[in-house]
Amino acid sequence: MVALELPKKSHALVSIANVLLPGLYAWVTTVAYPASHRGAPWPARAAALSALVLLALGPVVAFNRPALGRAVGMLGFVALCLLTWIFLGSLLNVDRLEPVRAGLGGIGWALFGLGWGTQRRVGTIPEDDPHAIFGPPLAARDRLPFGALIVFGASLVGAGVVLFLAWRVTRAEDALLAQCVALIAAIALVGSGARVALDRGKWKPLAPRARINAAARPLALAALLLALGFVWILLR
Amino acid sequence: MARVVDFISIMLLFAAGAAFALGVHALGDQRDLKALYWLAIGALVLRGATDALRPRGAR
Repeated sequence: MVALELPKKSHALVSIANVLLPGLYAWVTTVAYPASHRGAPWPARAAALSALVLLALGPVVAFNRPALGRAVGMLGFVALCLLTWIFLGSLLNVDRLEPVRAGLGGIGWALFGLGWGTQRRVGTIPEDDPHAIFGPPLAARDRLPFGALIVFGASLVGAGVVLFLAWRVTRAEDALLAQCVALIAAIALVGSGARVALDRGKWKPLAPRARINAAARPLALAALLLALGFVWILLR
Repeated sequence: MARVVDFISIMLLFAAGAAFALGVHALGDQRDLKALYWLAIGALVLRGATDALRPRGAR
């Protein structure tokens, strides 16, 4: 009995540590540190301390009530951290931030998000799950079109290049806009890349002329813009 | 012919990526009008790439 209980307890401790340690690290570096500065308003400090309480409370509550635990430990914690940053106001100006600490804090936040995920326990067998479907393995209905991985990989690289270029914008007032634009462009590129990579075979029965006609309007507008650009260069 | 349209669609996707990169690059060089120009072209070409692949209304 003791031998059975021990792995359960150790698993519980590991899952609490998975959430608490990165969350605590992210909280210390990105919330507690600026909130402890001289001149930080008391609502910011109160919100930061409340965030810490929710961070610790969430994984404990999650054992008996997973949905409530996640709401408290994840949403409540993030909401109070946001509130802290709002109360801190100008204390969080870009020129006051330390890049290394901010970067490490960002990694802490990413690990905190991953910590709330679930993983298969060591030693468990997936087929033991009551929801497992028994029978022969389900065969894939279709194969990936030729070059799908290359097309999707290229779209991922393109998205990465756009995101990287956004860091060239050094003007403080334009940097946020550049990051937003780059993020939207990267999402659009990856989304469209996945569609182009995977759906090619799916719409082949359609007449090629119908497909070209469907794209005619946006492409005509793009061509018009390009032509206007050339005219502008010639006139200058 | 269908393969040619597929190829055009892939090339348009790459062109859209290049246009977005030029747009963000221009933003870094403080050329806002040029940035807007390339970003608009990127968006239109990307729309063209997906429309050539899967026309709207097709099921």
